Amino acid sequence: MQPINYFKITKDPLKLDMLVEKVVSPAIGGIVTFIGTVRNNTENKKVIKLSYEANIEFAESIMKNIFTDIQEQWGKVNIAVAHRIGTDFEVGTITLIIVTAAPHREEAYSANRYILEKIKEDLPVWKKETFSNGEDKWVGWDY
Amino acid sequence: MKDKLTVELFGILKEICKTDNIIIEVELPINSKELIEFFIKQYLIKKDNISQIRVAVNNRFLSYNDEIKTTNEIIMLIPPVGGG
Repeated sequence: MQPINYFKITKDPLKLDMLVEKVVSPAIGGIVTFIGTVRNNTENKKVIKLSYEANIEFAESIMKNIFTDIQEQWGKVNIAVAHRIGTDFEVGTITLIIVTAAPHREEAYSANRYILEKIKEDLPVWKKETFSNGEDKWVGWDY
Repeated sequence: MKDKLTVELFGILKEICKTDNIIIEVELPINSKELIEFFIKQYLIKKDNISQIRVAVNNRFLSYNDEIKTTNEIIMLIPPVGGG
């Protein structure tokens, strides 16, 4: 049976239980979840809001490649990933959830970490931080 | 004669250019690095930012030496991504 590979970019609030439901199956022995939230500081500056934009079609193509990598490296791992986009997310808002489920914990942990690092590296999602002094800055850009 | 490439922009690049797509007139073929250099010169972006921009064509990242050969492809300039 093919592993479950689910990916969504959405403006709606993210719900962990909806993603967990997608990956459970009788052959699964462990589920690992990563939840990314808006942090209130970066480089000693107070962050009050985050905004995200994405190229959804390109992101789906990148995520498809990540799913293939996972299958090649760790075999059958069920995956559900959701990324939120939109403007002015307040501190504590959930913006990313990665759920990986596998027969054994090693594969579930390794695959989860791999997906997160690949998202940070290649997923076409752009993040803008708004600081308490009113300034804003696109993450990663050298101004 | 120069060729017209339609290039999609995102994030900071969209803000700098005040639009989400631009037309760049260049002679084809052009490789990815040359396209980035042409872009930053045209839009007065500092040279330090060259390494922060990647080119993607038809939803695939190009390496610096990969060439764009036709005008009928979806070309994107990708500033640093920040998912998560």
